[in-house]
Amino acid sequence: MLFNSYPFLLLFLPVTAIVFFRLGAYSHRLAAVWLGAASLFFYGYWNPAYVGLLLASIFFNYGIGFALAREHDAGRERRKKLILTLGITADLALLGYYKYANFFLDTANKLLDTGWAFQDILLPLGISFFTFTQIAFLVDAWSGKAREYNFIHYLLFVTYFPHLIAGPVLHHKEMMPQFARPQTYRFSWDNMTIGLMIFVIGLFKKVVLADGVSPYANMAFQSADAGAELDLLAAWGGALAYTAQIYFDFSGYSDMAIGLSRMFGIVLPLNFNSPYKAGNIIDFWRRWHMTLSRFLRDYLYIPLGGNRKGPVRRQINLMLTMLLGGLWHGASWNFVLWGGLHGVYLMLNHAWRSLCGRHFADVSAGTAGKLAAWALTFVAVVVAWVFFRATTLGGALNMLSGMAGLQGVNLPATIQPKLGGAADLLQDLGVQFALGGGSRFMLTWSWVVCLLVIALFLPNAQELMRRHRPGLDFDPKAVTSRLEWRATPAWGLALAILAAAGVLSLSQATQFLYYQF
Amino acid sequence: MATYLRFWFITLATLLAATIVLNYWVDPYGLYRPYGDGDWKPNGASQGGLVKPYLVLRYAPRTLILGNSRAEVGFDPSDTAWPKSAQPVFNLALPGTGTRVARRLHEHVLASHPPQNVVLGVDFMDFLVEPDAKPGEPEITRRLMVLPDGRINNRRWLQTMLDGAVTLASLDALLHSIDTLRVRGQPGAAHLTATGFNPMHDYERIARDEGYFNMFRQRDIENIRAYQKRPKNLFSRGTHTSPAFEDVTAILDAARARGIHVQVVIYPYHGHLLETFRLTHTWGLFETWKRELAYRVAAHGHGSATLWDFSGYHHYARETVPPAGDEQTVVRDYWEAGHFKKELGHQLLARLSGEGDPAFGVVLTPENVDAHLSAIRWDGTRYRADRPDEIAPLEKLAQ
Repeated sequence: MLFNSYPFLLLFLPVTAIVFFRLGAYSHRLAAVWLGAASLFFYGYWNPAYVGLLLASIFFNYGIGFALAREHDAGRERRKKLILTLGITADLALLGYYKYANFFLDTANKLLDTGWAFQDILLPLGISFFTFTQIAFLVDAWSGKAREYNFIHYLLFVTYFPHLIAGPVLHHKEMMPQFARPQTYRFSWDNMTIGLMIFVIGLFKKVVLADGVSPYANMAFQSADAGAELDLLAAWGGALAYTAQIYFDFSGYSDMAIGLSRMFGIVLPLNFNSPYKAGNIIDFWRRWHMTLSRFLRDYLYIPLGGNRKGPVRRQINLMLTMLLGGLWHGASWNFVLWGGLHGVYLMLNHAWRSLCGRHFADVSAGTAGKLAAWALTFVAVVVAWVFFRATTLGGALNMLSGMAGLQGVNLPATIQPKLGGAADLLQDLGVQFALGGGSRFMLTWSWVVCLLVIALFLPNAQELMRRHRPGLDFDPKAVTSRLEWRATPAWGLALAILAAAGVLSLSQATQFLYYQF
Repeated sequence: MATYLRFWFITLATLLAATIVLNYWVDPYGLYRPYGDGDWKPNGASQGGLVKPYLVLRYAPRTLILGNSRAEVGFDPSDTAWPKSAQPVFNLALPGTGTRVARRLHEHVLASHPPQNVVLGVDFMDFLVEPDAKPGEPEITRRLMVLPDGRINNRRWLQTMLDGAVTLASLDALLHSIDTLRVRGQPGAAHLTATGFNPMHDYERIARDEGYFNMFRQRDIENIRAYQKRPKNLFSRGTHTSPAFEDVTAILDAARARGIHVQVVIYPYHGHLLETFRLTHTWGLFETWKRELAYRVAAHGHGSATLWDFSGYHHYARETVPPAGDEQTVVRDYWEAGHFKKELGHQLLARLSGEGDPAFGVVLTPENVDAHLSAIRWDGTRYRADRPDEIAPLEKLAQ
């Protein structure tokens, strides 16, 4: 079920909330069971067949976690390690089968000419998210950090519908105490209002902004994948349209998840913090898909050795983490390339930082330096998105060659008369005026400019809601924007307009981009 | 917070209700209220697939037009060439669609109110398919009366509700309503008539601003690229048929079973498009396509169907395209090489009624097809000899 759908908003959400708070007044346990059952229905609405798979994964991991806690208490390290290995191997095998089997068969066929037939496998929704959530739980249980083993709460921790399909990736230790709190089961006008407002902002970002710009990104990438040559402005227009689309789509989803959860009194960790405002790539990864970055850092980068084994090993660990992070997004070499590119960016960023620390301490201190650092970071991120979005390597390279200006620069012929003498100057500089595509050109760039202004200059949802604890680990003191939500009629009207635009866009709703991962 | 939330909710409900009322009152796609000239529907043409399946049932036409954008902009249901016995006429042609959509729409109308005549436009491009192509069913079938397997579509109500939401309670509809109010009464606004015809007012404006050379040139480029990319194949592997041919056959069979007269029309392509076929090495297939259609219409029509070929180098198709820089000269019968104007549509409809210019259009039969194709080939040679200045740029594009 999609958050941005009529059945969810008109039936599922109100029924689930009303019954939850009614039951919560009578029995917390029953309310938790209801929320878990509703979450399973939410999941099964898409494909009931995979509810069994989800439940099997939950039972298995809960059992392994329980065994790990017992061995931890008994101090049996060897057996504990064995059980952890078994648990993680089984989880990765499940993920590997459903997500990567055909990818490996395809790669083997291409490299070794094996001719293996593809399997008819439908990717279970959210498998990457619920697998990672539970692997983190197993590692926490192994290290003794996970202390609560209430099965109903565990079931809820994994299946809790706001995060089940596409995150945020949760930690056992930040959720289980919230499920155990009595206040969670009491209706609160504050929670309902704050949650609803964050949800509305997310809904608007997804269904109006992301879905609005998506046709222009799709047209450009489909052309590039089909082998068409895109000129500089068409290629950049398409790449920037996708840059805006993926941000508003995924951060919109995350805001909706955080808002929905808040209605039920549960505060989720933040997933985005205006990533395109980042001044370097390290900062970008602290702002983009923050809970995945946190997971990869805690459960991959640090166990690999992190920065504890010298600068060279740190660079290798970074690269490995980013390559696997790329592969996590999907079974395609383009995702690996995207991850690898970010790995290279991070390595360069660390090397640059170390060099600056020693020799040019104030190179990026001034406004010009900060602007240059931001521009370089932004362009690097956009270039990497090209690999992420293109369905073929050829399509990505085609797009990049257009962005590099190798296919020339075109402007629509319709604007030529409006440019007057400047048109001749532009033609002298090599700009061509092409027939057709004028309205597409104007719409693409109008959307791109509007959305980038919003992403770069307006406060994000948590900054607007900074006085109301919008997410876990949120520091309101770090907010510099003066714009702030208050329970006033002006804000009520503004958010009612956003909500109306969101609700009116539901009839043409599309799936979230991150549902495919 | 409770007061704020109540205020927010009431404001939201008011905004939604106001949007629905406005969209119903303005009716940007012409789905709910009658309308006429001046009450333009600038976004109606882009929503033809959504509204036409509903409108045609309300209209219950005696003559039905099926086809793609060429038929939608070329055949005006209010044209004086339609005989009284053929009226009322509804243009159910949809841009960007092929024979499968035409077949499903035909079945849709048959299930409700069978017409007496069908004018079916067929386009060569739709028949160029991969040998192993297996086209899926178009999305439009969800809002049609019958399913592809012939059963009644019991879930149509669901699509009707969703279409109601799209046309009344959607942001697009709201923006289109505002657009509709903005252009009301103004000349040059895009439009879709209540009988499904697109008068191309917007193209008139573009032609005035940019000239016909640009419109022809842009489409020539697109057509050449499109035909270069299309498979050079008509039939499914190992057969002498294809899904597109089967669709035509199915329309003919269903019509004959109900005593409906079908006129299959090969569109009057401009000389530039005919030359595009030649330059993209599809001319041979173009002729084979016509032969196959002639055999099929004869075999499945049994006298109740006729195949008309208007695609020769007749004097309409040879209309001169103004040179670059000439923004004044008006092309009388074409918007560009692929789309003819209603003026030429009038001549064509007159021929279907047994009147009009006898040099325009031929009834194709298995007996006369080869002689006819040979005559067109000869006309083509003369056209190229007469118009080297128009042909050379096309040849350059094809390289």
